[in-house]
Amino acid sequence: MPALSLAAMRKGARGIVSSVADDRQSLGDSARSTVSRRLLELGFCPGERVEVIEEIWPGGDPIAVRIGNSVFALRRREAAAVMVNVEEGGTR
Amino acid sequence: MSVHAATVDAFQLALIGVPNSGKTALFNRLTGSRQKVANYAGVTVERKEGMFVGPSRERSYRVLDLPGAYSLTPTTLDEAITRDLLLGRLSGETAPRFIVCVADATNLRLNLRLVLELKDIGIPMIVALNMSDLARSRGFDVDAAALERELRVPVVETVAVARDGDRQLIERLESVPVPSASPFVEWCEPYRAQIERTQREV
Repeated sequence: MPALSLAAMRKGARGIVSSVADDRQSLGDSARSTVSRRLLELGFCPGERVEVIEEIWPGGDPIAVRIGNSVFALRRREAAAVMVNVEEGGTR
Repeated sequence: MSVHAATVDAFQLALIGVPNSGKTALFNRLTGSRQKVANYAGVTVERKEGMFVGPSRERSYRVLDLPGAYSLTPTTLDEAITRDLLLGRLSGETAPRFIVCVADATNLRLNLRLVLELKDIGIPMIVALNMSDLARSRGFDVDAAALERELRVPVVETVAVARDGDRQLIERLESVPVPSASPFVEWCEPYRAQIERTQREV
């Protein structure tokens, strides 16, 4: 299974989260709150199944991503922290 | 009916939960039209408070509907307000003596992570498995008793949109002794490793 950044995945692509980079993109008012931290809190953890279910046009950004029983809208820039082992046939 | 005399020593509780878990629906179910809406001091975040009297007529409840939060490490103003209020850091507000964590039973994992984080704060808590009817109809095995054993926190089922859907919650609340004072709250933001550990626990 090829590993790909979630940011590079197209609509319909599925896979398993392999890692979440410890980025330094700050988010919100807390110096300690980073994109990768919030992604982990939302459930983007290694071993979880993810699927890109929508790309918002124009530009294909943000994307709608299903993780567990939730769907979250992510900017591609934020999704870049998540590495995914993409399932064959789902990439398009 | 006058509840004025009882408001002084009303049982104060705060509803908390992730966005879309049904906090406000449950808040409306509990308090009906006895609500006051304002803003938190100096910010455009809505402060909703309501009242209701328990079925025994012996106790009245003052309920605060907190802004939705995924985590106690805030990324939005709403989440910062919720954290600061819980920790007693918000000027003009006292930390709640009791919290009801509203959890979407159809999406438990996301909600349980917050439950575990709240448990660490140490404020007495009941977990309300909301939308438990929907979860069942979608084939989830909703087992409040098992969850209660695992979490070591009272767990009830609620259906905020149904008449009487708050019955289990109210029955539990009526049996809880009135908390005497705000517990001493000592809390610091978890490290990344702790978040990952908690997610494995969930």
